Amino acid sequence: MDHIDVEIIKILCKDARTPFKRIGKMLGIGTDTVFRRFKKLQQEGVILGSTVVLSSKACGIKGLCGLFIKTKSGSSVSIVRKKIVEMSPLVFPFPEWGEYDFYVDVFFRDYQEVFDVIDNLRKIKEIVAIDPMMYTLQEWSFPFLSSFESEIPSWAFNAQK
Amino acid sequence: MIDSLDLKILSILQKDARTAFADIAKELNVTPGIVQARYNKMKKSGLIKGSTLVLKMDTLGTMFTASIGIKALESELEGVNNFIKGLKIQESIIFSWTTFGRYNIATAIFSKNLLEVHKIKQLIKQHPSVQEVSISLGNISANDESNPYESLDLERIFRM
Repeated sequence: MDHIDVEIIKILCKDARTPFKRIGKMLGIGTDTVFRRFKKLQQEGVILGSTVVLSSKACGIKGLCGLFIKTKSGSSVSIVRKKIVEMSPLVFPFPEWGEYDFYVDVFFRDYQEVFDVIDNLRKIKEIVAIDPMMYTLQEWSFPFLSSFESEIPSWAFNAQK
Repeated sequence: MIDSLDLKILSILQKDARTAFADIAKELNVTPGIVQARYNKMKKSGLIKGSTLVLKMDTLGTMFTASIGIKALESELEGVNNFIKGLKIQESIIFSWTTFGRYNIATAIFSKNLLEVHKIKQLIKQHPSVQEVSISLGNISANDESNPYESLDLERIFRM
């Protein structure tokens, strides 16, 4: 991957529908070069695909609740993760280590959903503590914290100069 | 509100945002003009904010993530949150939000360098209005499912 690949990725992160012709013009290279590099980045598995960015509010989502979770020592991360994922399409667990064993994002349409999720989490026998916090921000983007919202800084790429 | 045609268009674009409107039209048996109009409507209403690439993060190098729960003096909340957001640390991206509950600030860090994460934690801890800092680390490439947010089930979310 070189700096031209990085530039192509940065442009498409802001607008994945940008025509290759326009990208070529912006970078001073041919349309076919852009196409070839895009295909190569796909084949190498750097670009997995593209997706639309939606407003959580317009999807009917009221807010976000974050849960820090502690599990019993010795419990399987993947089993607990699976149990949490199955609860709702709007619950996203991230395994961690340190003070807590999981951080979970719970997007909700109404407050009752948050109570229900916490109630169901209490029923998972591996879980020993749940520390919730409610975010004051009301509108989020889906996908969450994607390269659409914040530009990927150059250091994040393993690019050859 | 959106109808089932809107939802079908969204589902196609969710899987591949570069799909040509002509191809979407063919698949859904409508005219490209209709697809364009529906797309414009959803963009204008603010439902569609744009489009982006789905990248495999660990091909960009291993990234550590840190979830930090912070208890700060309630009267200094905005100040502490802005202080964290304003931290400029090499090889790290910092997000921070105010919350209420067990902690009143939630900070997320993406970093290539574990020592930098530690440095950020120390800087937050030293802030005079910060009373408690709890940190948990994760690792993007450690999760087999790269980014769970990409598999959002729109049908279930919109309950149609």
